[in-house]
Amino acid sequence: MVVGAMKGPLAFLIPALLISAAAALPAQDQAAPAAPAAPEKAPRRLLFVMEKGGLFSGYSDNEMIILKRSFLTALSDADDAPTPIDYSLKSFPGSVTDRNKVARDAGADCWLVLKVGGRRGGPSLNVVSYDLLYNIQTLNYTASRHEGFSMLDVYRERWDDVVPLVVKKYPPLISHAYSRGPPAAVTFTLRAVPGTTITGLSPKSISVGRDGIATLQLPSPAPYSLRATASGYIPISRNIYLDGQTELSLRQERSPRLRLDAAFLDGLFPGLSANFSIPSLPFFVRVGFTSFRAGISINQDQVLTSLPLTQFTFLLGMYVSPEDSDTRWYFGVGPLLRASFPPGGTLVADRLLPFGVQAVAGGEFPFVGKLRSFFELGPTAYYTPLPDLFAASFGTHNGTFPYITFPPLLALELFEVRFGLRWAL
Amino acid sequence: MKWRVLGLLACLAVAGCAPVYLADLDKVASLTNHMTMVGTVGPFSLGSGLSNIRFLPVKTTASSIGGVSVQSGFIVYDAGTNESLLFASGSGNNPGSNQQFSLAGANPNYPLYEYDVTNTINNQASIVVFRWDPATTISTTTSSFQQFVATLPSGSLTPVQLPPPPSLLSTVFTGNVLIGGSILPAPPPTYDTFAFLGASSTGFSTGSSQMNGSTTTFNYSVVPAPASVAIPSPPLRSLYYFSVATGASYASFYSGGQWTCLQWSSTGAAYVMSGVLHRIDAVLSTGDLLSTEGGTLRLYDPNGTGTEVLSVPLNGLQFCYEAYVGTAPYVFFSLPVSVQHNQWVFNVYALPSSAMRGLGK
Repeated sequence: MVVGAMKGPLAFLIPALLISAAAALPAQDQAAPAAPAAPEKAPRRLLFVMEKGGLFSGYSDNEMIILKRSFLTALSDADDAPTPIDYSLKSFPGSVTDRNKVARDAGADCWLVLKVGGRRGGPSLNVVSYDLLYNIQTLNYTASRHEGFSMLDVYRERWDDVVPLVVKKYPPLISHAYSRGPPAAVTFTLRAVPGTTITGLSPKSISVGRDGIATLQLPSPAPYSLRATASGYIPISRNIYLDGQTELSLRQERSPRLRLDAAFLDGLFPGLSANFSIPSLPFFVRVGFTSFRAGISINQDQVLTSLPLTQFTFLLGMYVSPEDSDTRWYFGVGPLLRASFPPGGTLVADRLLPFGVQAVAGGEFPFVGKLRSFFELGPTAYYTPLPDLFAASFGTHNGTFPYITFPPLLALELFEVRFGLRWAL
Repeated sequence: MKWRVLGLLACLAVAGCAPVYLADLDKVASLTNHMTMVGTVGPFSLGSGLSNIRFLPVKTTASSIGGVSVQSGFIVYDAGTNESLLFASGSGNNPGSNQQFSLAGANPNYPLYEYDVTNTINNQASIVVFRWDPATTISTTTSSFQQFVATLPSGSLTPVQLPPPPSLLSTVFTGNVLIGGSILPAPPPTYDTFAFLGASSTGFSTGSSQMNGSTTTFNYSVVPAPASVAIPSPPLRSLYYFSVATGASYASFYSGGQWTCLQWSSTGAAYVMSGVLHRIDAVLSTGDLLSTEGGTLRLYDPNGTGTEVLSVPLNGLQFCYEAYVGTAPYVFFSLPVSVQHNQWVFNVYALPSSAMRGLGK
């Protein structure tokens, strides 16, 4: 029997080979080497500035706008072109350092200035560009054209003398694991308060999700200037150099809801006030008072002056500087009431100048810790029901200085100054 | 840097001014809230070292309170041993030359000089200054008081001393001394009345005169006081008022360490108003008795014992007089306000006489 003839070791070997072969069939399908995935491309981000090449450029401002759109369109149409970020502010800094900062703040990793100068019929182009990732100037190039731009069909303009150079200088970055080689896109995780808006890392701002995490692709190594703003929190600006790290946690401090002022008004008349911040808005409400019970003044017969007068103020103000600025400017407007409690009398609204409206412009400056100093100018318009007596109260010597009277019922004082310390709680 | 520092110092210097504030004004706010402010006169430089500064506005000829605009008046103040009287007009002008009266011999309880304002003498604003002289009895050549009438034809003050008293006065009051008197306001075109009190060893006599336009001839009509009127002995001084409303006479005199008020009518018996323990400075057209002694404004009901119906501190506000605005009687007050550079401003207020009792509310 043939079967009988397969006795011994061979009888075990052949089935084992057959089983192995059978088992190998499906395994061979699964492990079939897949084509390697095309690496992700991260386009470069180019801050683009177009300027006139001199005072006597042949093109008007409106034509320059049209030319800029034309260039941006041509650049966007090119394959693997950098993503342009239009710089729309009027003046672009002159120094490379300042230009780099502006570019970083705008979320760009390179910048390009295209100047269009010369005659209208033969414009000249000057291109200067800088790569922030490699910290080198990539372009400094001048070209002259023999024909002017045809403004009527400028959409046909392809900028063939500039766009290819730009594309060549700024190819997209290839995503792969961090290496010490050329800059590459890495996945970067940012942890912050939910709802935080992050700018400076990408052309568009990004929002931190409810989980407190934002993830994005960033070229690394590269320097970045990010800014994080969240409602109810003090904004943060950070300069970071991304060099391999894939995560960053931002420590955000809550905005103080209350700031207390200890201040001097006019001469050295003391006062206190409380400034309440309005959540999510740059506005604040101030309630305070100044006592004229003890102070120093120069227009009285005695330098040390004591008046049984208290001035209550209410102010609605607005900060025009970000909360994290060293110097914060603000302005506001609100009513004030003068209350008098003369010896032998009762507490009454002052008869001469019972109330007024005050406009305030001021600045806060760092002092110590949470203490900040401030200085305010508060021109005030007072209502006076007794204009004759108000004018007479200055005597016959100096008019009504420093008040300016608006007959019959208003007296304007331009030089009310208030300064002191502000404590953020 | 230097200019910045100088600029900052200049700003602080300008800003280092105390706010404009007049405590005098606010002290009286609880009173003046009830009143109409009818004028501001000044500022005037009066000098330093003055005391007892008062202002008597010229009487108005307006027919309604809205038409009253006081722009002049008389400033009275004490300076050393003299009392000065000035005419002041306008805003910021120097007051007219002053008339000085010696304060020698002044009784601490009575004003040595009494000032009354009228505008019915020759239809001109005038101030009448009385100086009572109880030590001199009335005769055909002496009047026992001096009277100065200052008229204001062109803003200057020209005191006039009257000639010896008219014969009627001398005849009836011979042997008397005139110890008090006051001017009673009357609605225009009626003339103001001068009412006076004479005293002798036998009793009081009263008289009155219309201030009818002649500064030399007063028409006295003498009505002897009831025989029952008891007078302090010696009859040094008294303040005297006649009430048009009640027809009663009131004598306010300092006796036994306090002020006493005696009331009588031409027909009734005289009696002491036991409720009136302060000097009376006017009897209003409403009949109420007004006192400002000690800087407190008091009103007394003229009936019975003289119940005090109002007592409020004046806090520097000064009673001037009662005068008619049209047909309505008003009480006028003035407020001397000390302003910068030792200057003075005078505010004038008016209140209907009928509203006086409401001042305390």
